[in-house]
Amino acid sequence: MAKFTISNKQLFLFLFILQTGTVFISFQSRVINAAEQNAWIVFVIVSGLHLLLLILFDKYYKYFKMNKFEKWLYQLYWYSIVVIFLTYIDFVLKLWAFPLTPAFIVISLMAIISLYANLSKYAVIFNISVILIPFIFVFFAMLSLSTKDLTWTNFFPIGEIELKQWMEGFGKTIYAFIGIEAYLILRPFVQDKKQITYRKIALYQLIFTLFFVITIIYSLLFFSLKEIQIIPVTIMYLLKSQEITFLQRLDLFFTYIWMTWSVISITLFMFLGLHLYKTMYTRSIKFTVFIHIVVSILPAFFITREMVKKLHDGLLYTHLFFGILFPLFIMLRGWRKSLREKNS
Amino acid sequence: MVLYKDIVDVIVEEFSQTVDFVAKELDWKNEHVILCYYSSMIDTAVVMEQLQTIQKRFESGKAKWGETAFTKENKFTMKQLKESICAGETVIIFPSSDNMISILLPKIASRGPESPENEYVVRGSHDGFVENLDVNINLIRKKLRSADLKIENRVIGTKSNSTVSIIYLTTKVDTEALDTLKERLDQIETEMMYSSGQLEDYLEDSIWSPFPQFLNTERPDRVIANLVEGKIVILTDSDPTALIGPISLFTFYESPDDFNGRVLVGSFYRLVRLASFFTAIFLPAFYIAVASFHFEIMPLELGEQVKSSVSNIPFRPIFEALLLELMIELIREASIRLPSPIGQTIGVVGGLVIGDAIVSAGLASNLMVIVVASTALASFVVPSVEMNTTIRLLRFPFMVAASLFGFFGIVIGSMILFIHLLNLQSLNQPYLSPVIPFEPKKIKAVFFRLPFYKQIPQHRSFYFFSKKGSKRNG
Amino acid sequence: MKKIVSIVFIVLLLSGCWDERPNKDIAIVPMIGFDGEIGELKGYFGIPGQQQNAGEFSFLKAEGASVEEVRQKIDLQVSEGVDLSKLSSILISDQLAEHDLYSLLDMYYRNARNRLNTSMLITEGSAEPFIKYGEKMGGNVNNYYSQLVKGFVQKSIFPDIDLQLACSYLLDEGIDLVLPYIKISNENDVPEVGGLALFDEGNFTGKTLKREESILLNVMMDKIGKYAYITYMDKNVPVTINIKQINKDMKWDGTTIHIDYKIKIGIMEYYKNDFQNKERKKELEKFLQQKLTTDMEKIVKILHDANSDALGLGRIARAFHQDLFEEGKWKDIYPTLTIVPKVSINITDTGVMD
Repeated sequence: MAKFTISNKQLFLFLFILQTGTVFISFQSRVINAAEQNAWIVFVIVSGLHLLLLILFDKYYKYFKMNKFEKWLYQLYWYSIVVIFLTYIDFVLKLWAFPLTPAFIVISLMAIISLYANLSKYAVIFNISVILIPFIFVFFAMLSLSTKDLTWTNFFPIGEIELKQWMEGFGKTIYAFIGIEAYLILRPFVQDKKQITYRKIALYQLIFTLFFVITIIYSLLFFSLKEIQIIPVTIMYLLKSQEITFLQRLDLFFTYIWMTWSVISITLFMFLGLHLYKTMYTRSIKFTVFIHIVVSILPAFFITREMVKKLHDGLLYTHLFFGILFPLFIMLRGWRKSLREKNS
Repeated sequence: MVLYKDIVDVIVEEFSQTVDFVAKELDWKNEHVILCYYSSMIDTAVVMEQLQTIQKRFESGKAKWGETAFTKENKFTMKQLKESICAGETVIIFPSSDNMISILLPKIASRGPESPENEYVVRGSHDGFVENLDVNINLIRKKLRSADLKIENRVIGTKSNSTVSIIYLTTKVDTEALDTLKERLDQIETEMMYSSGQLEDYLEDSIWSPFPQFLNTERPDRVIANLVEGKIVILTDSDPTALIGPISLFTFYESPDDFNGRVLVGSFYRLVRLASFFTAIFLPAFYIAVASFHFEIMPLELGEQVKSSVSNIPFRPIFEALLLELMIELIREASIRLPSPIGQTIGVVGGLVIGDAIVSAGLASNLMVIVVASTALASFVVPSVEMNTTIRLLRFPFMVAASLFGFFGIVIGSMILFIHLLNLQSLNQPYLSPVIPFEPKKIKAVFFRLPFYKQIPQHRSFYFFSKKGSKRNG
Repeated sequence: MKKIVSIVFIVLLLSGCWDERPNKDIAIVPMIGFDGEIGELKGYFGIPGQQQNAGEFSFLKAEGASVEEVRQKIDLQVSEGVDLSKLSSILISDQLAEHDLYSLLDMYYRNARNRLNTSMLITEGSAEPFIKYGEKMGGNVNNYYSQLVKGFVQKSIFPDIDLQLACSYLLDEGIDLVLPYIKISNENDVPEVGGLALFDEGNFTGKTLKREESILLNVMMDKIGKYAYITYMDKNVPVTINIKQINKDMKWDGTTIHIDYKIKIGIMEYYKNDFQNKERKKELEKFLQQKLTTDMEKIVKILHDANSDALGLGRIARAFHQDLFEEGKWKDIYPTLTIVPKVSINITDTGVMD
């Protein structure tokens, strides 16, 4: 395992699926509710900051060395993200597809996939996202069906919101960037130094931004602001109103595309945690099984509308800590340590 | 007269006193020799002629009189004697000098290289492998006149002593895969080698996977195409089937017909076949899911149709589907076992009569008959018998999953299948290449039959060491 | 092994225990109608028979406080479960629509299974005879009203508004809804198109546009279908035009809004046949310009009387003229606006004849 390497494409695909994953259907309405017509501008600005952060991570990832306690802390963080996401997925599935099926069955089936993938070799984890590539295109094709129903005047007015709304918008936007810390874990897998350039990071960020901005703009133009307040999953609702002759319920298909997407992103989060575990202990199979069981039992306690909202809000702040502040702190510490070593 | 009666007796005893074993003394100028052979395994006239030639050479006093194109001189041991006799050779033992001469002219029953029945092609060569290693290698060499073509033999089975040939092009073969293969061959411990199917079990990376990890073929042209792509071919004596590895999933969907026909036609049918992969696995599951979970995705008119055809059926869709699937499998088995004219009749009777009767008896809906029948057709499109059975097996778990959870079950099932395919390897090469690991240049050769005149390599299912010597990551 | 076998059997027997909804246990309802008022709704459900006996149309009615309650009461009258997920049209009586249309529709938006491209129609008088007419529709019963709407959308009489778009319009104060209006013809008791029903924020105003006016409203909204035929009498010579392309240009000047339409038309019928004469052509264009302008002015007046912002001026005001627009008060501002339409016509097509 020590010599396992990946290519830059695999790295960025991993990161993309990890970061979009569960988030991308509920994200738009949050941001639009906060920042109204300027939601997409807010997003572009924040993704600029995200790009800076990525470059910073790329430059100093070598100093990102954690001690045992920190490794456990990160694992705990990732496992709780998985629990929150699983809760949310089941919450959405309950609303859109399975009102009656018991939560634990749906969740444990999804956990089984993660378990299977995480018991396989590393190459499987890094390649599993490939199955989603065609679906990303299908998703955009579905979305483009609604182009004729867009109301272009919803774009305007631009810039006419208060500072408080801007700030709130920024806050909600960060939601899309959960998982950025994975870059620090994955970067060492890419051995070839030439493979990752700033241009490639920028390209990744561009694709990432485009993906979200397009979905934000479609939601914004398709619905009136008042509608978005009562519709939490805009993209799904948007697809629901589209009709093609042979398939009447696009949203149903999209639900499953999104579910696949989410399950894979959960698998990847689990992988991050288990990878840290494997750096500490040699035997990991029992722990892998154990943590999957834990993760599939916990969500059953949280599936209510209020709880889902609360968990998500809580996630924002923990993400700020684990995604940005803590890694920077660890890297700074590592950097100072290396300076000291050089001097002595 | 009889000098070596006791020796003859011992030899006959060693060969279990079988009736077709012959051991008798002959005059050889001024000494006696013992001649042994299986009468069932030699052509007497040919061997006698050879015997006379040797005698003449001996009498004329040539230095190496015992060595001709068809003979071999050995020290006499009982073990060597057994090996030679069992291989159909005729042995002359010289008790005085403790030597023996074997005449390598066995008579081995073999049919002509006719077109294999289970891999029929419309255009292209119509010869096929037979149950004789030499003939098979002859068929390969005939088409691939290259000194690079290397054949290595291994003897497997302590009782059967079967020969297994590893055939590859030295300049093209992936050495890593070759080493893996040789290692696995050397580890085989068995008394009896029955067939290439048994060999496949020993060589496969994961036996419990439903997917075959070697391509089985009886067609020399398919073997040659794969040899040139750098794959390794394993031939066994007494079996017309060649094993080809390492292969990828997509290799199973390539037929020699693609390359014999025109480019557009070949590409079209390649795509049809690949689409049939999904139809064969998912169509019944999809129908079950729609009929019992998600009828709202159908247009109103179709929904009415489905409803009216289902409304009088007493079973759940899953049972209906299982019933019909079972019926199809029965028809298939029955028509395989019967001689071909009767087999066809059974197919027609089963398909038309039973199908129609089932619907009018109200056991299954006519839509389900359509679904199951088209699924069966789609699964038979694969130009490989193993893959075909694999696919038909795979659709049952999907049907159950669909009947339990609708689309959710199908999605979960297909993800597990996908992870399994990612895990799967053929001789340590990724099974899904070149799609995963992604190789944009090779990927179009998977889906399209590219023209020959362009110097684009046809699709290969695994990677060689690149020029720098570093291997691509899988 | 025994265990595995028994588990497999149990799984198969229990299959689909939770969310399974077998197709055969469900009665698909393609059209429903309502009248009365919220709290005392009267609902009419039309359920067509199955394929073999398509003639067996069942007409069911029930009363209830809410749409969902009506549905449940109807459910009692049918052996299978009544399902609205494939609803193709909703008919609402004019009287019911006068008080907050949205309150009727909430149930469709809330349920994930329902489709959102259902057609909505306002009926003159009770919706009952319209649903009852299903008995005479034959095989067409599933999509009768939605096909009707689709057909007239092509002819530019109805705007293309489905359930989802209606929700958008109802919740957006910058634009008001217009819905197809149908009535029972006096002569042969067949449902026929009455025109368009104008709404003022979610409430039906009681004012409707006639067929020709509906086409013109669609022209003004720049949302014409495939065909938009209008016929005028030019000095006793009838002239039928087909509107092909519209260029809309708006100028906001304080509270006065100038809307310039540059319209390209084709001549469908005009037996006087003197287009070789360029002056005659100009004259005809001028005549049509005047006619269309005055007709549009009439429509503007009707819209103003109904206080219905069907043109969506509020959306434009919100986007570009913030000084005029105030959230929550647009309906007070709208009547103070002066809307001045102006048309210029260009005949681009005269058919195969010159």
